Amino acid sequence: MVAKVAIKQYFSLLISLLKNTFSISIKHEKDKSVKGFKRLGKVGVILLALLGGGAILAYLVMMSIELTIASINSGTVNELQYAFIALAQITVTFFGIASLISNLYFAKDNKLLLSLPFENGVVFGAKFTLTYMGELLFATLVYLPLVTTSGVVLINHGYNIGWSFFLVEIINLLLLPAFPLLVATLISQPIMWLVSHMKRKSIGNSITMAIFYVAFFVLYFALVMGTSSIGENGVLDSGVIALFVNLKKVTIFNYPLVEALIGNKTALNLLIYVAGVIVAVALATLLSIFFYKKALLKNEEGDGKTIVKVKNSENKSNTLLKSYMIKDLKMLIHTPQLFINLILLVVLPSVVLFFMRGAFTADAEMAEAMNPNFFLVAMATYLVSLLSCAGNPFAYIGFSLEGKNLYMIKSLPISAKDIIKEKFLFASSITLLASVVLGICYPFASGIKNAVAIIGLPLQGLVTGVSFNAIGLYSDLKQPNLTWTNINEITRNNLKTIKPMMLYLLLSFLYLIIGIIFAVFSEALKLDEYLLITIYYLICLIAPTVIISIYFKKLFNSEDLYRKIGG
Amino acid sequence: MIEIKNLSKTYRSSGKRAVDNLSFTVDSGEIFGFLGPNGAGKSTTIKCITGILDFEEGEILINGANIKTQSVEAKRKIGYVADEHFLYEGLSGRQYVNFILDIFQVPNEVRAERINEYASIFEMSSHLDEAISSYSHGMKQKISLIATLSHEPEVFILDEPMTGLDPEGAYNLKKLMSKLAGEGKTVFFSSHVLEVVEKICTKVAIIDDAKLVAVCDMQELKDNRGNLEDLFLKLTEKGAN
Repeated sequence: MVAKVAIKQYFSLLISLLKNTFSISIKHEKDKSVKGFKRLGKVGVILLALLGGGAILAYLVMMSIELTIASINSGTVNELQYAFIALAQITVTFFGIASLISNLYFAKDNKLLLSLPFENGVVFGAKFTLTYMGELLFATLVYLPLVTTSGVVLINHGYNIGWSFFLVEIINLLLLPAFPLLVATLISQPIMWLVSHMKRKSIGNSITMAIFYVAFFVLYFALVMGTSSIGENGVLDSGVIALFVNLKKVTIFNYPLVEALIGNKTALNLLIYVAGVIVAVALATLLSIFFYKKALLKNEEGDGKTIVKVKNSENKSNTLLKSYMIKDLKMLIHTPQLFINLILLVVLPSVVLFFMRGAFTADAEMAEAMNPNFFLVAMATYLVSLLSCAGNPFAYIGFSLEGKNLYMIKSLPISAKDIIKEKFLFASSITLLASVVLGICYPFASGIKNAVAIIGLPLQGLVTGVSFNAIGLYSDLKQPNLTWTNINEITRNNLKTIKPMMLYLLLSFLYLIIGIIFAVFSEALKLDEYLLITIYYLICLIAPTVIISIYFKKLFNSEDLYRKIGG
Repeated sequence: MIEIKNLSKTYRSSGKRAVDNLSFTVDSGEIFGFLGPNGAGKSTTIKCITGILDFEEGEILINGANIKTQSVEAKRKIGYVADEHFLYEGLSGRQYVNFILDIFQVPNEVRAERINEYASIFEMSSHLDEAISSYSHGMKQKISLIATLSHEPEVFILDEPMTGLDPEGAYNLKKLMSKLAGEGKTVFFSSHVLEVVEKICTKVAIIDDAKLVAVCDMQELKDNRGNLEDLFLKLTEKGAN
């Protein structure tokens, strides 16, 4: 009887959560019809965004072709499939941790749900499923291009895998987010329960999320970037083979998925995997009965009741700008999802560069094909540009982050220009901080000693980041999403925020392509490396400078858009 | 019936005792007003009663069901309207009410009749199929009330229920509260509007500085020509305790 009620409640809650998410998405995508140049501009942005997405797709397909052929030659086809599944699961873990923890612990609906008579495990189950569905998207983006391409290459090389490969691939796709999310759940529940007992919960939550991400990156780089790529004669390097073998050992729980994929007792293996997932879900649900609800109850106490003695807390006047910057800074520190973004933005570029240094050590073949130093500079520029945009939520959802507080802010005697200025300056302060840290760490992390590159990269990151702040904030101001339940929903329910990101994805990719062209032709050009890098960065600065000149003006003349918020 | 026995709640973060040894009973058929100055402990008490907050000492029984040890059973008896309501704004009013009725396992056969009845009382019939995101504050309050009333709980807990309601809505709510109490249901509500409390409540509790300072019968107060406003101000004046 209790189980029947629980199942009914589970579906009812899940359907309501889905309806809520889906209808908000639709609402935000309904746009007024646009004509003429505006329409042309809109189409242009969509095309650029598609190109950005296409660039990633092309990269994944190329990578899969190369790796599959090399794996055939090296006899590691099975191991490669493990690696592809692991890569998709790592992606799910990366995006899933934030989603899962936000959905479970920081959602605005928790108070409502706590007051309702849900059977044990229902709220946890429904929210877990909701996250699972969201993460399927990320798994699809990584897994489908890699494995479909790999399947086609295997068939073309005479492998007898049959067309069932592609059917099983879809089934695998549906199943593979289960384990990373369950592992994240199993680990997060006791930790969040402990955090809920802390006095300063919000800071405790931020630190917990930071620990999760650091652990994730250590694992990621240790597994994936620790070795170089394909060696001579189209055969995998011994380091890569060792990596694949290690990956197989670590992700042995994916054994049934890989066996099913290559046509070995497909039905039985899929059944075994499903059974494993069911056991793990049952375990996580059981754990939720002990930890999840208790953590939620404690979380509801919040930090709001904390009587914090602050030094110099006497009444002190600040300028309007300073006072808003302090408000945003406090929001940044006390919101785990934002805090983790800050840490990633500041720390991640240097960490990635450090690991890249090992990954792209020039071998004889590479040194013959291109200038390895320049290639490293190009890769660093690509990654830093990418991270300086995607890692700064104050740029692309600066207004949406306010939620309904924005209406209150609109009621205050502050001009739209001042608010826009503050948002832009705050986002740009974060960009500046990240660039300064990068400037200090870059030579140590990357091993690059070229002074132009050492100055050029943080400068490029800063200019690209600032230009993104202008276009991102302008885009957000056009249609902010103020009715979110947790921060992750802001971008998921408002595709407008994704467009500038896709545009910058393409731009970053262009930096890489230009850099590779320079690296390949550096010998032929017979130019000094200092001059070459200077020219490279001057070229790279053109697009962000143009964007700044256009969108800076647009953003600071958009009082009308600010006034129109709320209809 | 709500029985609160020696309830104490201390916020771990600050060490502040928000509710201190609170005990009172709200009988079935009563409209019970819960009053107190800002920060006195009203919301904390209500959150403890509804199971939103955990507490370390005492016991709360909802028609005999312990909110701590039999939380699902106890919550099934409660209809709660919060002061700051969270609603799924992507749903329509009807979808939201049906979601709440699903959780309370209200059979399909009676849903339409109940929803229509309460929607008509609060003049929301023509807005039920609109998205909640398009509702005004008062309309959101009304949809919360419709959802709570439609599952016909035994105990109503209403935190500042008149806030945002138009005069007609407030009048209809007061009438409904009296009707529900007449049917033997328990109505417990907090308010700062003493005139409303004075008019409709049968009993009143006043809390100040985490402690219960008075529980009084409204009829007795009226018989003694007392005035709730004077009593409240006198009891909650600093140094009065």
